[in-house]
Amino acid sequence: MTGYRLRSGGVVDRTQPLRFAWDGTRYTGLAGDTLGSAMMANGIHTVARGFKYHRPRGIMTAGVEETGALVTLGRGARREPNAKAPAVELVEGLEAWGQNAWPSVRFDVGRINDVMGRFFAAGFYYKTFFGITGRGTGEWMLFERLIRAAAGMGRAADPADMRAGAGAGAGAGAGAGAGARTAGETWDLAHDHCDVLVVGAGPAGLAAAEAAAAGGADVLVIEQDFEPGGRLIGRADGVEGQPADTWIADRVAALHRAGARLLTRATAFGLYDANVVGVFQRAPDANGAGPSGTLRIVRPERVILATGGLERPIVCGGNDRPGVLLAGAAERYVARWGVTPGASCLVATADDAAYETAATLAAAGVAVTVADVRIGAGGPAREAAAAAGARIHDGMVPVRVAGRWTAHHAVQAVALGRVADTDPERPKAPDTPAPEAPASSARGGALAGTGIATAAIERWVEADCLALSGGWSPAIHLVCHRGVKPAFDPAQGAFRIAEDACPEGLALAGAADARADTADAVADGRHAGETAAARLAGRPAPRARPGVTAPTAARLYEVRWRDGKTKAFVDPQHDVTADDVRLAAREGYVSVEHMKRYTTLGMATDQGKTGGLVGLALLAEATGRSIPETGITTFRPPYTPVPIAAFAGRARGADWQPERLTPLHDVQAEAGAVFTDAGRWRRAWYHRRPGEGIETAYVREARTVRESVGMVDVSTLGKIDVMGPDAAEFLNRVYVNGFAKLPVGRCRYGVMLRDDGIVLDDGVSWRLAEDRFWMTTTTAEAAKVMHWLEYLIAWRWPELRVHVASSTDQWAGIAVAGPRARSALSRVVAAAAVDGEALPFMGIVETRATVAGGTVPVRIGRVSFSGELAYEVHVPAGWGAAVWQALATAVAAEGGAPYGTEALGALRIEKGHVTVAELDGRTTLADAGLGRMASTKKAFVGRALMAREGLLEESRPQLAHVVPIAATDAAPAGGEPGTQADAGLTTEAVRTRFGGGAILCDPTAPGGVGGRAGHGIGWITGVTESPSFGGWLGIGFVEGGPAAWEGREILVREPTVDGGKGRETRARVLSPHRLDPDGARMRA
Amino acid sequence: MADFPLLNASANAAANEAPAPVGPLMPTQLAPGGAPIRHRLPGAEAADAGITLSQLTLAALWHVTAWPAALAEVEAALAERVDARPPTPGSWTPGADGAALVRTGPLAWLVLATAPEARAAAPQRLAGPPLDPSLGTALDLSHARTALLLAGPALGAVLARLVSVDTRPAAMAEGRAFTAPIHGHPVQWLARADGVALLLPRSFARGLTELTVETACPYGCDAG
Repeated sequence: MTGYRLRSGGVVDRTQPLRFAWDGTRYTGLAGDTLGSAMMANGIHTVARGFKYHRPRGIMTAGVEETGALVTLGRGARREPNAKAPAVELVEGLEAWGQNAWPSVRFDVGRINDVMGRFFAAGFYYKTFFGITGRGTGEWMLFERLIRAAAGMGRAADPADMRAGAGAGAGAGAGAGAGARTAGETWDLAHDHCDVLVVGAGPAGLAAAEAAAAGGADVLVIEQDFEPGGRLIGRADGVEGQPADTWIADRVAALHRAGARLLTRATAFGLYDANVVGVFQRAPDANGAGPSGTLRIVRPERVILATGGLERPIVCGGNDRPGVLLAGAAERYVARWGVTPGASCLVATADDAAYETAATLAAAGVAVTVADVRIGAGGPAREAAAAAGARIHDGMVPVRVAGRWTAHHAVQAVALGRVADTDPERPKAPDTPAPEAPASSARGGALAGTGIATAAIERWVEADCLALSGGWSPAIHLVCHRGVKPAFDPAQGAFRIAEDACPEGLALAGAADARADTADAVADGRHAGETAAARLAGRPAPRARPGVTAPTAARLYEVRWRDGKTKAFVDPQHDVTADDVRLAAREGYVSVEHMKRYTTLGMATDQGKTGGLVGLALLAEATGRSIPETGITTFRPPYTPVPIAAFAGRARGADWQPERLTPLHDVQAEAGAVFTDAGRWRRAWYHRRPGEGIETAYVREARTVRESVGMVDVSTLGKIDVMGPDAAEFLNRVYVNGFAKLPVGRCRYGVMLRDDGIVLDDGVSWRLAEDRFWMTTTTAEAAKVMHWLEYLIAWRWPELRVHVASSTDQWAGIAVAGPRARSALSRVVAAAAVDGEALPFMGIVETRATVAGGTVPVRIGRVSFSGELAYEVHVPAGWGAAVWQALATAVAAEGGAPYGTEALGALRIEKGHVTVAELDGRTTLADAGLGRMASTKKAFVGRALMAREGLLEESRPQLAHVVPIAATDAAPAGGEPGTQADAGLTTEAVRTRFGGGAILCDPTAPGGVGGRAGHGIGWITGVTESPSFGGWLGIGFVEGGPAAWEGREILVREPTVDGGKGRETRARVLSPHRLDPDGARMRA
Repeated sequence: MADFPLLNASANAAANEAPAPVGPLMPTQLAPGGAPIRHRLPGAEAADAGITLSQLTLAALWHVTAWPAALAEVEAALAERVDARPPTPGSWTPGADGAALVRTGPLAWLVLATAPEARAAAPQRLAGPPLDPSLGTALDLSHARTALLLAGPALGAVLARLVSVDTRPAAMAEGRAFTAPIHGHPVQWLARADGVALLLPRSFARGLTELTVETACPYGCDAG
């Protein structure tokens, strides 16, 4: 094909050139071009390579249905593969690259696959499972590498590209004052609402939108093109007495006057329940500074699908060569972009519409020959084409396309044949008097048969372009996303949606409902718009639906060459040939869904837009069934590809999840704290001193707490106000232990269970008044507990007069712990308020703290998580930083320091206190060593099922300390320390550390389920270097608990560490309650 | 019985002349009290602001719930306290002294007072719990939320990118109130004559404000 720009014509702006690059070479297009039209205008005929055979491919369509010209846009972090060149708006500086070829699409060594094509028939890779020599799996492992290396179309931006782009793109997504927190390309996600959504701004869509808006509806129109008008753009013929471009402009102006919104570059890619429509809108300039595109979720009251039609090809030998395209596309290139696909064109058709192509091309100076399978059909369009100089051959079909070696096998000539008179499947026009005597009055019409014809070559026609039209199919993909099954319409030779099959609130209009004639489409669209507005207003539909012009297409899907074999492509994107479909049928894939998967017909970005129906017809013929009997594959979203990044929108990078910060974040950060993630929260991990790392810092901090005093940010604790006269009764039912008699001014540790008797969460509830409690929960389970309490009040005990409300964000919390805690606290609040008498263990008080600039109210409870004398100081969040600073000074004066979550963990492991690491949804009260807490005198949630037999077994894993056996330890029973002989261990050396998540095994049962070959008998939930005990300390669960392992050795297995080699450590099991077991420190 | 005055932090602060509470942790994209920071895309530095984002001071915020049998009494009591018309569910009404009454649910209200200045004492009418305990419950959340005001000609486009609810002008008429999440986190929205006020959870205020500024940046955002 040697396309070129015409001297005149089209609606491009010839005064505004746009530079673009194709495979590194610079070219110039015009404003209003697509990449496809600009490439065609520059004579670029080979733009891609086939997926499997690597045959050269050109531009085959003028829109998103493109099956040939798949290219890669941009580079680096902004690289986008598999863009369809005819659907890409040309912008200044656009870069496009060939893909699936090496070294380039102009010369691709992969073309060797075409020579070896017989080995790459449908399902060839499945056959490699069997192997050539019958070795099966072994050979497959070899083939797999080759197939995987060859598979895939294009290459997406990879992490290396993103990292490289992060530096270059920083600042691109945010303002000069902001600085970008998420570097590189940005995408938006938006939500739209409207009364009527019109999908498609072609003749039917514009008419529908105008009518709906005139009826008072709030209308949103989306159009995938960058201009409204659809196939009317640039056409010379009129609409409703107006030139097409004027008609479009008038409709758009009317929409604007009515307040309707028109979004261009927006494709509806999916239709979902309740008629929610997924739309992807591309930015005008994807290389601009703003978002590259927007994923829009549209929630309309009613939807009108004016999605138009998709032209069907006629499958024949060599129909994938550069220069072969659909007839409607050829017409659009000339009319809209002033570009001709070739200097001489053969138009092969089974439909009247292609005569408009012939007339348009002929009027543009292209030498046009028409081959019409019908005889005497075409009507006025035929006469117009003939008048423009087109030569017309009736009863002829394209049999084979010959290519030119010197031009990448682009079209050089087309062989025509006549459908054999003896062929029972020959398409016939009704009332045709004789094949040799064309009936000029005949309009063609629906023809019987399978649509598969056989022909011998009768003549060759020289042409550098072949325009094919096998008729038009309604674009029904979106409505099918709702689960609607289309029905085959013999008159159209295509599937369509029955009017009564549309879900409520949904309507099809125009060519999407087989009303391809422009006048029909406009009338139908207007009716659909009026109907939608009337329904919204509660009025009956205004009038009956307009009639429709009789279809003109003959049914012709494939022409087979009677005298030879040649590749004829049904789905050029996936290199699926007609023979592939027949092969699938022969091999038993007679279900249309199976055939689709076996051959890949219509998969990926194609979604069967052009070749889908043809493939069904071929399968029907191969299996001796009708097309309705064969069925149709299921259309699923997306209709067109949507960048994955668009689904993420701004939820990526720093905005993937907004950070949750405590009121004490900045004051700790300024003092050098290092933070870590705790769910959404950012928590101070440790407070670094010069030269310290995490390992030394947390041990120092923990030791400081044990020896003097420390302070830690506990603002993340969930806080729930429980209010009302039945608050005590409510908590009494929620917690396993009693709360009804908890006096005002005291707090109590409580544990709550799920209905199934498993621990849900624990925490401390403070009684502030007879009718008011203040519950703290674990950081991790705060939201879950809040929802649980709301559920209990709303559904289980609605009779209780109690309300709950979260107040987590209202408070900053600081725990002050250590033997000097009281002294430190007394420097900030009145000593009398916090002495042992005024504030005993588990007592609470509200007082004022002295901070810079005055005093502020604080709520203090004597609660200990560390096992030391400790206080929780809570203050309204706005004063949190002031209290932290005051306490930091006081703590330092007592020889203490702040500590972070790592030290917090170390302290609680030493003390044997549980956290969500232990309360992980599998743990019972007894497992956690809290069995005695459960009241036997009252009912509480989970009481009944906690007594299940399986939950009471003494052999259940129970909380325990686990310490590694050092070389100096005494020998355990049955073996020597530091040796493996005693238990048959393979450990090479005595280990002194292990990690969280390690599995505990019984070394005496290496082959059993509890041994190293099994799932073990317990697990480690937390580890620390222990300042109190010295050395490494783990906490976790082991079957039978410490009592069962007294004097015995256990094996700690970490099967995935050390690069997968695994690691084993010998250890002992001890009681978790060895630190201050009588609680003297806490109660000091 | 112990005394627990912190049930009312706002009144407690005012009565005892506490130092000014530190505002919520906000991103550097904002310049409270100073000249607004201009956020523009590269190449559009001179463009007018499509959105202005400013911080409001929450002088008082009470979360109030009624016992079902006392619904009418609570509604009347709150209206009297705030000097406002009782709002219907999904709406808010202005009261005296900068106070407002928001109906957030069948049995729930927010009683709040905003002020433009950085530090503002709660109006006397909201200095204590605005409800008799026999009628329902009241919880002081004055430190738990951060208030922002979004305004400007691009408000609709920006709102459409922040929340999934209908934010067309008709649905955002002055007086409308609704709860809708930004990025999964609950935010209370109040449609006002001068824009839309947002009550953000304090702990998420910085992250959500950053997200809002970045979302508004393509339209030109002045944040202060």
